[in-house]
Amino acid sequence: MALGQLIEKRKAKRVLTLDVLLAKELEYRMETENYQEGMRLPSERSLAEEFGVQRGTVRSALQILMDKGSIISKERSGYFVAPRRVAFDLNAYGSRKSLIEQMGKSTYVKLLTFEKIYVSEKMAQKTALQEDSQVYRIMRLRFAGSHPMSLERTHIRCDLVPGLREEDVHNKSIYATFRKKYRIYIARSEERVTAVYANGLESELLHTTRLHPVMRYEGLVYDRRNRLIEYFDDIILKEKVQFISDEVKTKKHMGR
Amino acid sequence: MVTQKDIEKETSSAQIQKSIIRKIENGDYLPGERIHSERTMAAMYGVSRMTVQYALRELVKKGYLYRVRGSGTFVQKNVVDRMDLNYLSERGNSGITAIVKNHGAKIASKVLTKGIITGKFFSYRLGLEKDTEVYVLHRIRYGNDEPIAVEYTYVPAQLFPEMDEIDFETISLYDYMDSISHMPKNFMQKLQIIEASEKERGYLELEKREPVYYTELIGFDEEGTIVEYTESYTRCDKFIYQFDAIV
Repeated sequence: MALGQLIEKRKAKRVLTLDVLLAKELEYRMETENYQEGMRLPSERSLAEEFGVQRGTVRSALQILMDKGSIISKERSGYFVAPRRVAFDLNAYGSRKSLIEQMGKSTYVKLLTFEKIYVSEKMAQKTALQEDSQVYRIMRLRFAGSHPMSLERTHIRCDLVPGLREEDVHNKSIYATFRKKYRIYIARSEERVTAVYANGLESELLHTTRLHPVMRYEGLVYDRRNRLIEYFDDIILKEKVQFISDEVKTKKHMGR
Repeated sequence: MVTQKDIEKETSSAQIQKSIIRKIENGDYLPGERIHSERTMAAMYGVSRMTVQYALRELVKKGYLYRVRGSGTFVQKNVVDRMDLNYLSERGNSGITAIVKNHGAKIASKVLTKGIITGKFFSYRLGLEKDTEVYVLHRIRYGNDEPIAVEYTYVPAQLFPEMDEIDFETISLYDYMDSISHMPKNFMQKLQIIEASEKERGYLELEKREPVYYTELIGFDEEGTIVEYTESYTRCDKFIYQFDAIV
């Protein structure tokens, strides 16, 4: 095992602690040996034996991986590969549905509210939507597998999609409706990702606790004619997603 | 004597403060806007009015809010000024040093550890042959004397022979890379929001459970050679991650 060699290096230099080195070794293994989500890791004891380190070092290495969210522990039964995150592309905006389905999970959205509101001064300042103009405010809860993943809230300009109905957005792609019914073709978006603490409603819908840190994903979406179409403001369970970008076309060496 | 009740008050107040700060930063509360009344907030957070009052007093002290007698509590103007954390942006940001400097803040670094190692994981990430030497550079980055990020950087040792001699507390890594024509120009990146672990919380001087941006980044120089792999933990309250996407 290469760790023996790493230990030698460490003795010479003391650059990284053993638990960090072991965590990285395990990360490499999980990635290159294609560990599937839910797969069980070897026990603490067998890892300690294999790498010739103390149990405490193994535990500390596993803790590092748990902190990063790559593995989870289950009481009295060991450590398992954590569920994979849905990967959103930083450079390409697209359907959440197909991204989740690509991972082999089913997904659907449950319509929570559908209403017509006037844009407040505050929202106008934040979003470049016209103050006092009308927007459809739509709130949907997205499930990945059987668990809620995100609360998707959007505001769509009424003048561009007159007569939009609940049936158009209930467990349906809003963008498909845009295309088919209104000939609106989404072209680009300006987005931001921040961390917030879930409020009462958000935590209840997402089955988490109040003030639990969650991801807020906001964006202004434009069509091919460069018209602002919608402002979305999603609350996502941060454990469920990640954003990735392949700036360079060669895809090797960056595992997910 | 400190009672259990005091402790509870203390923690829920801290949470309320944080929640209000987030609202200010997210623009849910705009500069100059009156925030919810104490009574509303007490109901919203499910705490006593005393706790809310305590939280508001603290935020007034910290400069986030101000009070107007008889009319309420307001958001201070110009408290939010988060830096745009996007290495890939076309605005030409490259590296936290440039971002912080462009923002007019003072940047400083503390080296946590540095030196040569080998390891499968690192050579794999850097696209090197197994057991090729990798130079480790772990740093805490400070903006205006406050910790803003921890960066765990790994570079191919062979490409950067002077790593050991350079004082990375005063010289930026990208400046050094640039000086020998191995400046990263293209990046592959992974962004997550996670709760910082105890170690990173310590470096970043954060409280328990506070979320941070976690990024993994592979940098390629002009020739397409991988010159860097960095894992970083960046404070969400100091930065904002913005990007443009096309369909």
